[in-house]
Amino acid sequence: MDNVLEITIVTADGDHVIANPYRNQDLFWALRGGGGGTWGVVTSATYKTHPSKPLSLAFLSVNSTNANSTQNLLAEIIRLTPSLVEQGYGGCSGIVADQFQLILLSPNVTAEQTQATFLPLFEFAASQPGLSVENSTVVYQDFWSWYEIAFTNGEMVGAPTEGSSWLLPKDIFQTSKPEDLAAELFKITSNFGYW
Amino acid sequence: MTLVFTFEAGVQWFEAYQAAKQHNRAIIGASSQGVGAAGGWLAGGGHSILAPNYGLGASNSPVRTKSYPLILCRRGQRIGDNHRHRRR
Repeated sequence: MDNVLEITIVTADGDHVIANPYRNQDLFWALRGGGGGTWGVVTSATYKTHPSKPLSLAFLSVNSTNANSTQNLLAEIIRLTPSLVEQGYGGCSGIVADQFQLILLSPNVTAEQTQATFLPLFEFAASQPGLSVENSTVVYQDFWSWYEIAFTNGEMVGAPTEGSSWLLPKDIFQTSKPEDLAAELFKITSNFGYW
Repeated sequence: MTLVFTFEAGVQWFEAYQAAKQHNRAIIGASSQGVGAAGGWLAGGGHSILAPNYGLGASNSPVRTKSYPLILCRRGQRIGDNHRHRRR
């Protein structure tokens, strides 16, 4: 899978150079994950594009007065995660003890499939004590149709906090005890996202 | 047809997405509209809501023989169309 194909950069010695798999390969490698501002001033990036496809989205928002219920809901999401990855869902969530938001979308499934996948999770959330739940599924005709609604309202996303991240391997989620993983995640921090 | 885009420093992701939409293509980029399309997002690996399908922004397979039609985008103006992707 390709995304970035080439980067141009002004290096510390003042040269404006092209970095790609054929020229300045070491620089091209280092730039792809080495962190902002580390290797020079990037002046352009060249990316491959992909077919524009409809996106099927699932949304879950929970206000909670019961931290155990929030944790139980996270355990259900962990249980569902291997199947979600298989179906091509990507997304983001914000999780604190009294609030929980989940937005997931996939270009590979139909509206009916999204409803079937998420209905049990929505029902589980509604069944937990102390949770007030909003949920929906919707199909957008392409990436921009979703992005325009989600991100172009003039507000910048992000927060003035320092973050860190882990890429968790698949087998972590194929556990027979997702509730244990949910408990551990809640122990690490009271404020985290789940992608 | 696989298009590729070159975004010069200063182009923000919402502009990049609009350019891609004009050509009926999707592109892997950042969430926040104000993030630069040639910058720190990529240097941090390039996470995206579409990455589970199309890979991180930093994904690049080592062997490639194709050339692609290229569109060059500068902040506020589109200056070119259908250039050949340069390979040197």
